[in-house]
Amino acid sequence: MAVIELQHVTKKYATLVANKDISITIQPGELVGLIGENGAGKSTLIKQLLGLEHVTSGQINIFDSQLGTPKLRQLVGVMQQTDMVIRNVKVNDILQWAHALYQHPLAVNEVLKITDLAAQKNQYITELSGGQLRRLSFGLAIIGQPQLLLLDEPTVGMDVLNRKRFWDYVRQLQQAGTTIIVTSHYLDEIADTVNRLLILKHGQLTFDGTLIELQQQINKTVIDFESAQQLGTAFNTDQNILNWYQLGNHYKVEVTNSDEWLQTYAEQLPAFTGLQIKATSLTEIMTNMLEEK
Amino acid sequence: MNVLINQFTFDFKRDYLRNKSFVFFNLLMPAIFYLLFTKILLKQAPAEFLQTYAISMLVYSISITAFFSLARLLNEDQTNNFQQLLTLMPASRKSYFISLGLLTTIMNLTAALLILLLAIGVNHINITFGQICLTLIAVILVQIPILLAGAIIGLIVKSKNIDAVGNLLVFPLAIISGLWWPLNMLPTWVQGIGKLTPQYLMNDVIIKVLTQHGAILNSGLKLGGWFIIFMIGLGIIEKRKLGK
Repeated sequence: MAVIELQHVTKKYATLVANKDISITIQPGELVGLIGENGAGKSTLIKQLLGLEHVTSGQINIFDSQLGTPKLRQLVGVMQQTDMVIRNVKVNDILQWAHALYQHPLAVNEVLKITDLAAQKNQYITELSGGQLRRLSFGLAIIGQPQLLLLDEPTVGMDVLNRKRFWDYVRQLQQAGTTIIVTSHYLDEIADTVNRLLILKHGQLTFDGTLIELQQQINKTVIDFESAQQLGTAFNTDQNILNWYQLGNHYKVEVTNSDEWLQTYAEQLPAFTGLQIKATSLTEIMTNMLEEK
Repeated sequence: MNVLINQFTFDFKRDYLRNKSFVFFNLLMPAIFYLLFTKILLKQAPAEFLQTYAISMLVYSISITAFFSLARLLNEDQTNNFQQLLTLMPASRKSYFISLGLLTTIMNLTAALLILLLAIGVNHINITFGQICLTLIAVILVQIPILLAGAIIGLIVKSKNIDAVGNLLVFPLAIISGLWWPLNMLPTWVQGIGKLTPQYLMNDVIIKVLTQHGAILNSGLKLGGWFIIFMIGLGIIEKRKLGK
């Protein structure tokens, strides 16, 4: 049984189409990255999954349950984009409150350990830093041991170490069978973590697949090397080269076929130092996509 | 029931035990006004005034609970996404509202006890234990319409305006409903309006219950009217919010 099934989901506001004919099926244990520029429709889609926004047309099924029902809320954990800052409430209070809501919750001390907030246990929420607030939101999302976890911009404000810990734990959750959907503008983190990408552009689903599939579809490889030779004339006439950049002796060449390029420059290769052949990064792909508006 | 107990424990800690503004605005301010008017400004005031003015300050405290404490709490919970969290977690919005109702009732009962104890202890008013109990029961019942009004304000007013709206409601209503000085000192047309306010009606019912003098049916029915109006208003607002 699929965890999430969206069929031809469209959301229209008065003058804006936020989502247009989106159909997605997500299976148990998938770790999915939902990405796109600001206003692409990611948050609207998340809100629709949570039952906070009605769809204009189409259908959404989560665990074959009706959206927003108590049964479904036991199964879904949510880390919203905006943190909750409540007066006169300590970290321990809100976790105890949340703990009592679930049928099979994690122990509060376990959540404090996972989120590295044990030292802030008796601190008021209003006294927490931005990163600590994000970790508390994560703690509230996982305390019910959800089968589906929705993470909206989870690492904003977190320091490097806590980001690493966070993604490590997310991978652990996935390995334990939790289905996870994450939106983030930190594309390197998404690329390193997820095993499926959904790209939204102007409310439409423009890509659904793995990063490797996306890179193959883009059909572009980046080659970095250093050389004292002047290669500009040759590069300008090479049909295989899409773009090239030179900074001193450092060259960066974007090609459609790296094997063909290696054959073409086989004679010069021994003189190239620090040669690196890399698939286009997700950040570069998304930057190009945004520039193609 | 467990969900309600959990919610109430959470709300009681944050908005009763740790809420400094509750101690100052709901308890100390009405108590200070009571002592100021009955011990300092009006020396040797008649016993009847000492008794009725205690109830006026009690009603004033209930107004503060509704338009400041409850309205601000609901407003903040809306702004800081706590109310949204209630709809995302297996919490219940119904339990949340019942919990806040219980919480504000306890606030009002605390204020009522404090004022009555001041009236007995400082102004030597004769009030029996039975009268105190009846007064507290009356407080529980008559506060409901104004708490609903406070909830409406908390849910519809923008957070930047919530304190200003609270001030605009509490102080003018306290004056025109005769809580601060006798209503007959005001122009006749203002008196007409004042006698329809929930504050005047609450004051009238509680005084009559405390003194066991006069019928409460007329004011009680009018309060019932306010209850229906505010209940319908709150129902419409909730329906709109949940239907979004």
